[in-house]
Amino acid sequence: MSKGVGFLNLGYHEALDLHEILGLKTNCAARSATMAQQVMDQTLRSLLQKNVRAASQHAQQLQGLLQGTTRGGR
Amino acid sequence: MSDNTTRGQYNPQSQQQYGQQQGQQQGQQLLDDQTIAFDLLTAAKEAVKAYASALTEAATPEVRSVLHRQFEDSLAFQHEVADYVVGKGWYRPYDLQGQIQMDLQSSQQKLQSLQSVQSQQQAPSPGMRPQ
Repeated sequence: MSKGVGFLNLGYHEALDLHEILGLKTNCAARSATMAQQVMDQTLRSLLQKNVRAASQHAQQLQGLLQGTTRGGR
Repeated sequence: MSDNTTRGQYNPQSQQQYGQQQGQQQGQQLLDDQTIAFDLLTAAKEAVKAYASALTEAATPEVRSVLHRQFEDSLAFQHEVADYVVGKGWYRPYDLQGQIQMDLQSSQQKLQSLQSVQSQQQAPSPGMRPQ
């Protein structure tokens, strides 16, 4: 029995939400990377750089779920 | 290359580069550390809300587990950024009156410098023209 969005094997609503968060996280990583270049404060810069790493990792995991390649996400 | 460049006269390319540099300086003026920190805080809050909403719609177990872990990461990061802006004195959670006063002032200042940047972009001063 196939469920949800065709080959994705996901529910419609969760696929839509994953897609939305994927965009949010990808843009967030790009924005933080740009901002990290121009801030003066060192603590703020490391927060931005931390965000770049985390948001990129999150986006990659979400890509995996949307492509149907992630099992359990670990 | 072109004759213009070798004669050191009107050089559209260098003028364009100058304009870009100036634009970047103005951008840095508007996007100071405080503005960037609050932009980061807003993005972190939006992410937490998006995860909370998505988690209520997640039906597939592996989707749930990935979203839940990312939700916890994002919430911890939002707390980190919030602690940072509180530590800087930019955000005062226990002084609403002071906070509103401060935000009104900074909003007015920001809009003023925004207007001056915009008027400079629309009417460049004669000194900036190539000779």
